[in-house]
Amino acid sequence: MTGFLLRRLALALFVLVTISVITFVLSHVAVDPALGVAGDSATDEDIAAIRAQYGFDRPYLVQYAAYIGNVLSGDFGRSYLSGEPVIGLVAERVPATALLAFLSIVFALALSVPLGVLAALHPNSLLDRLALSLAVFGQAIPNFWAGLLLILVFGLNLGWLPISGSSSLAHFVLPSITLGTFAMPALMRLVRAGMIEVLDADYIRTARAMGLKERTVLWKYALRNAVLPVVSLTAVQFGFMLGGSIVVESIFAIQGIGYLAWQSMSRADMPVIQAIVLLVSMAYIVLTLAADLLNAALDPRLRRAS
Amino acid sequence: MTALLTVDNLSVRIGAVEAVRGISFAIERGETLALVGESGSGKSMTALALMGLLPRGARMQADRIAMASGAAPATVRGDRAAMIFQEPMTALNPVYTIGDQLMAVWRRHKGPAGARERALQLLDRVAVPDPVGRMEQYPHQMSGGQRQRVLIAMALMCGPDILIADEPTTALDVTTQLRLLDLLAELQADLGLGMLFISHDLGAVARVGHRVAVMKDGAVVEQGETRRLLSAPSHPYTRRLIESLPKPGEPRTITEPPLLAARDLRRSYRSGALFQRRVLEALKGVSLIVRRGETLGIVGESGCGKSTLSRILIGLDDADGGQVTFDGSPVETMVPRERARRIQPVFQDPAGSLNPSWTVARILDLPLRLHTALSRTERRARIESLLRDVGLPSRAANARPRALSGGQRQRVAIARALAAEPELLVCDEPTSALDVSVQAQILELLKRLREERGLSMVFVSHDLAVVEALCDRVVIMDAGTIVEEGPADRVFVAPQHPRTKALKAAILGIDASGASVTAAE
Amino acid sequence: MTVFPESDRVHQRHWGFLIGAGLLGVAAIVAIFAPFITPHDPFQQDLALRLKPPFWHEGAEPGYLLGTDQLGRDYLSRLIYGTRISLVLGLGAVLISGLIGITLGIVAGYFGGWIDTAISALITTRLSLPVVLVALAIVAIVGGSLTVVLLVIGLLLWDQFAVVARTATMSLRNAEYIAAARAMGTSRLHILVREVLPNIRAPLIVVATVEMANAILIEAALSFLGLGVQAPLPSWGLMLSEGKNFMFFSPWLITLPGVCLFTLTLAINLMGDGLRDVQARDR
Repeated sequence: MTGFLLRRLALALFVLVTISVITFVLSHVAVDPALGVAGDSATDEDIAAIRAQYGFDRPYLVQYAAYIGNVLSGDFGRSYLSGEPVIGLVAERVPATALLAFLSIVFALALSVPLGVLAALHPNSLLDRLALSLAVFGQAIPNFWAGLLLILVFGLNLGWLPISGSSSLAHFVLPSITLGTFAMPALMRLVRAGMIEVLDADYIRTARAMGLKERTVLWKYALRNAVLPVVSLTAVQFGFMLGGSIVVESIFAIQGIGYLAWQSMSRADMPVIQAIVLLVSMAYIVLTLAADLLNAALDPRLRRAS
Repeated sequence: MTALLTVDNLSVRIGAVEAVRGISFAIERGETLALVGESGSGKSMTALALMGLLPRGARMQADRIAMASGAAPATVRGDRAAMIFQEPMTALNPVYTIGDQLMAVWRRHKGPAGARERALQLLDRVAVPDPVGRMEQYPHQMSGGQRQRVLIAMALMCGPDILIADEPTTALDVTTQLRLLDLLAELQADLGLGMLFISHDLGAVARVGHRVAVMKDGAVVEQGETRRLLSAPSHPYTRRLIESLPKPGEPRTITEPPLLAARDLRRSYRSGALFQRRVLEALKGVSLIVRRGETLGIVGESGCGKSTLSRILIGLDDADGGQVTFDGSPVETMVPRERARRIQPVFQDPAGSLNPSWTVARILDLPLRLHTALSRTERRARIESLLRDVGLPSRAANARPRALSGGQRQRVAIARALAAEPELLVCDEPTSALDVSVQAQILELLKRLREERGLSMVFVSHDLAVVEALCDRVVIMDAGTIVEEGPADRVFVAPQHPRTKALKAAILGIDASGASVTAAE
Repeated sequence: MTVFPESDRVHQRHWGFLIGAGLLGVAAIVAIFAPFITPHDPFQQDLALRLKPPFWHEGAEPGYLLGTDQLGRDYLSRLIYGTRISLVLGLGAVLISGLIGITLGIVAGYFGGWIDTAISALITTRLSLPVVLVALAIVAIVGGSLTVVLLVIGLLLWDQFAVVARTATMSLRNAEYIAAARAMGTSRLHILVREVLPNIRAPLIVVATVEMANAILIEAALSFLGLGVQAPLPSWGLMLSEGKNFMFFSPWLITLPGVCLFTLTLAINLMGDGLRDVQARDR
């Protein structure tokens, strides 16, 4: 167990370092940060002065070390546009995105787990076909288009739900459905495939041969095994949504990090973008780590005594 | 008087295939009926049908399937009728403890009280050491033999009247198999169970069966008291099965100079990734020679190092220490392609050893292109003659492996090994995945080819009887070392080392009277 | 001795696959022959003909079957040219990402050990990067064009190819026919390309369909956000973005490109699902 944990932490550390190199390249190498800090009206002298003042003329390795130092102490730089510390800008936007991603994953799970299990119990039935069609449909539909259609129907034509902003929970209904539809197909396929595979396993046959109730066999013996990969995928999808909410947030004008990223993008505000990429990646790493730990708790084979 | 279990005119259909065709039998209290047959004979389908566990898409039909009480066994599963399966490694739920799984059966049928006591009592009865500790363990922490004992205990939890055992010892090592067979027979007698024992192995059947039913293509061709049936079979198929059992061959004494010599081979594996290194010593200094024209048998149970040894001899793995010399020169100094031409393998799994995407012709063409300078038409002709040599029709060349039976595939694998005319053939369990009648044919084929071509052979197997049938000299391996070595007749008649004696004792044979015999008895 | 059947695969009609393949075929023909079938120049603006509705609405302009956009350009012609952009992008991105991912996956799966550890870490790194965000950032820095978008998406979408190729190769690594090929003295390249690749082909084709649809959707999303293919190119995503300001009174401006996008990705997904089903049946 400790070996597993150490190995997992080493991987997480490696990934974090690699990502930080990428975000450093994005914000310090691919663009000239001095230009950004100086603003549009700066003269060449201003820029040179800023370059010296901020140390942008030092070798990249030295700059990277300084960058890591700053990030570790919570300093992600200042926005080129507002001049405010990036960390504050991003922090105030996190709750909206986290709520959106959470509601979306709940929507996706609420749809995919029961449907996937039922489809697995009756393969090739009408219900199974329906579930699979829904998966194909959800996979193929562009989520920004789905969002626009929902706005058109439920917002503009029917007027049932608000379509812009993030001030109340009602504002999150349409965006969560939009984003949840995107995560649903993969989850449902995995639940269905996992359940079909597990139901075919020798130990399920054993349980049936021992005369256990079908209910016990399904919900206690089978689902516990089938759910293991679903835990991982849920974490992965949750991570994807934190980064993938940008489109949905921009359509519904939700004041989350995706919307912030989009606004910063069109004005090349690299400190903000860099911080968001780094944070989303970190969230993904933490989430998958948590999922692995949860799996280890659920699956005794993973926590073998050393 | 009604029998404990009566089956009348049972048929099972899977799609267009008639897996079971109207079979009938009865089992009395305290009696073991052995159902014997080769793969695809319908014996497992029969068991699953009785228990109502047929796979989706299978349809059954019967005039009568009833226990003495009149109930169908499928309705009293786990309570009055229980079943155990072939694969102990996967038959237990990996995420629950042994104790939980045992007690769940009792609680389901007998209520909440007394489950733990019963589980402990049965674990003790099936000779699982430390029952109290085992209760808290998960299946992956136990060996295959232990898991099968747990499954037997689970089947007996509610004191069933009838036990169905579907190839319960096939996946186990031979010595473990013998102990489990004897345990099953003892439990059956002590508890007065009716048992339906399903097996492909006549030796096992002779040991536990009071009566035998022989199945072929879904039908019972012959049924009767075990000794009578095995000593005087009346159906030609039964006779053929019995004749197919490997018989001791006539070891030759060969005095040619060594073709292959291995000296002090060592190999260890590190398992577990970073931070969790464990070292497993697979070979702890193994030395052997194979003389030109000789067949050397390497025998041992799983984990003894025989597969590692054969992989090193083939060149698929490198030893950490020691040396292999071939025809006088160390193998490291040989050009890899030259070594590959002169030493060729035949593997165990005929389904896995041929590239499923390729036709037989292409499979056989590859070694010819690699190792010979033959033209396209010459290669075609060579492929034809190779197929003829291994007893396949020339039209097999256009088939893909999937269209072939297990025995046919193994013939293709042998043809491929022989294509570049090697001097040494290393066969790793080449008949273990085959039915006994096919095994007999492949053994015959290997014998003929080695005569015709003067081949030297290394024959790796867990099955002493097969080795005895083919090999001139044998080495016995245990825990990474060679514990005994000598001419086949001497080692088998007068084994010295306890390990060899145990292996020898585990060979299940049948004597002229149809009784089960082992060397120890 | 049994008879050897010529083909051991039972071909059965799979309606999803056939419908998907049919739709994709139509899209390919439309894309290839776009210049010959468009009624108008897709870039020709005519402000007198702004926001004309499609033929089933009142006030439709004859000759403009699906109406016009906010600049008076023929919507049908723009949609037809949009097929080209989506297909080129989907195929191009999948070729790049497939090449990268399959190579990495096979190498990791076959060689194992530290090579596998390194490549797996690389895959994890890639998975933890938010694709759309990173693609947007790169396009924001480099500037948007079809080539840039294609390259960026191609370089980002290799993860599933790598994951699937790695797992499939690992399951084959110890197959006896691989051992037999090695024992025959074949080269490593021969084993990877001739022995492994053909036998993991099936799941990879399924991944290719999923990723192609994915790439098309990501391009549309980038263009929709204004950081992908640039105007006046008729990318469906860009058309959706331009049309959303007029969606209340001219809803066809967003429904039509969306339907095109959805139909194309649906067709590709249906094909992928069909292949998956046929594979499952063959096994």
